[in-house]
Amino acid sequence: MTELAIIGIGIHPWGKFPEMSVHQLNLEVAQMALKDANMEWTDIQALFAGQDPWAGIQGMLSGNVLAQDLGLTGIPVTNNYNACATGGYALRAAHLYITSGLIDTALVVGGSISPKGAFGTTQYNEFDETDLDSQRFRILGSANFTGFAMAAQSRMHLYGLTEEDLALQKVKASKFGSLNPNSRYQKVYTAEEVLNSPMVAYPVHLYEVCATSDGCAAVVVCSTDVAKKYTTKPVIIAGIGASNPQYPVPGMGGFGSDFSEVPPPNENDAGIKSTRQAYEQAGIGPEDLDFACVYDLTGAMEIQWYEDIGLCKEGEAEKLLREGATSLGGRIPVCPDGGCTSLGECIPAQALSQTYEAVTQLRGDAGARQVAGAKVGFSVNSGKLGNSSAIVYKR
Amino acid sequence: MEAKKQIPCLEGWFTMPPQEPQLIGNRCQSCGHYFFPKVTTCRNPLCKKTKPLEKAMFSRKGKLVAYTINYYSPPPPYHAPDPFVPFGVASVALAEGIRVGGQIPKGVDLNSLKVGMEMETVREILYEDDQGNEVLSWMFRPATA
Repeated sequence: MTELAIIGIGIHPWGKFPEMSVHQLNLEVAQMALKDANMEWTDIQALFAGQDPWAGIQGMLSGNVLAQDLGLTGIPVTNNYNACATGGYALRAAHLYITSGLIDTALVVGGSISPKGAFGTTQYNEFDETDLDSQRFRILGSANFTGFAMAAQSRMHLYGLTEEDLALQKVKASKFGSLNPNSRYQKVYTAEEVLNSPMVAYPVHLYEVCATSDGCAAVVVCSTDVAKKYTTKPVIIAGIGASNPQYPVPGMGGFGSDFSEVPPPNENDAGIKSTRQAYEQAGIGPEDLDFACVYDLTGAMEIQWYEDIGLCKEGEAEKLLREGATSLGGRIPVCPDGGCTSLGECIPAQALSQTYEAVTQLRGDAGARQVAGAKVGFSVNSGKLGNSSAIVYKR
Repeated sequence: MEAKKQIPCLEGWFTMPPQEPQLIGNRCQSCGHYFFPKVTTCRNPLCKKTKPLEKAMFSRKGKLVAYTINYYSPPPPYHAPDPFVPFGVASVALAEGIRVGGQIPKGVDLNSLKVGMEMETVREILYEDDQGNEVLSWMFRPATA
């Protein structure tokens, strides 16, 4: 596959900023990424922006608003929303624009100002039976973590996952988060504190659930030839996959968004499909990774990813966690930025925050959370209705 | 006193009294796949869809695949009682080849739930609407016999 260079990155710390608009965030972070790339806005030939579902029509057209703010140069603007995989889909579109030879440079941005607390639905008609997202809330009382909790409970039954394991994942994540200046939660939690936090949906405790946040991340990408003009240390995208579930649908395409699911085959899961695409394009396997950023909406989801991306065999993920292999200094650190529970979760920005972390690690700029000698990194996510993207990075 | 009027949370998703509680979905007559809730077109991408979907009544009993207990009051459009009472949610595998989600009714000892146990479809009051109607939903409870 033709490779792509990342030469600039920008991020705003994750948190709650109700006094800000998503457009202010996007502008600030886009300028940061351009500066990091030693590039002018007028050098950018296409803009790709994640849509903010909470910001109305202007949020749907957030890229166009950003182009206005940066100065209209007439370049094409693409706005997209693919739930948690929004940034990955935007980056993949930029990748195809550039590697096809159509253009040489692009800016990719994703940001959001979201409502406080567990996500509900933005608008609903109680009796619209075609809106399964609203009906899932109304009839099952199923917030997002209800589905996560059932998946965790299922792992308890199948593989011996314990509540202590879930707490251990949060402790691990919080150590990483405490070393990331952009993370919303800087505190290092003890297992006792996690287990003493309120149970939200058995066996999942409040501190083990993604913290819905505001945030923004951006990257500047270009062809590998053009990159030489700007930097001697580009980070290369060696593989970039994007998938949606394949029928019959398990996992996030099932109870994450619907009333029914069909039992595995797990290979129909979008996260597994996009992971395999990215590995294949890059010509690598999980054994080649130095770190991985996965979508840890709860600890149980992080543990499931260990198996889904091939860090261990089915049924061995709990062991990998307990051994400390995925912790700071372990064999394969996972979510070195603190992940969705410590960095926080900001849907249209999260995939790009993973990219931000991967680039930071591969540049050797991650400070106290640096994965020593990291050469190959990976990020993957999946969200509502099963949207998923996966990226292999190398330096 | 006049009995309160009972209405389904969604029309046509499950049977109403005096019928036995049963989920209603559809089945593709071409490929035989079942769907709940009902779909407007067969979702199997490999299906030639030469025959229409037909109404399907699901098995009343199935096996418990996974469950959770919601301790957090869900945001609207959930009609949470005040004070909020934790409730169970179950995933139940039905003979038609799909797993369906449903609440576990009040009164079921949630500590008694075991993955793999037989569950049955029941009909319970989900909430009372502004007009005083009892809004019913399907739910799953451990099978009686």
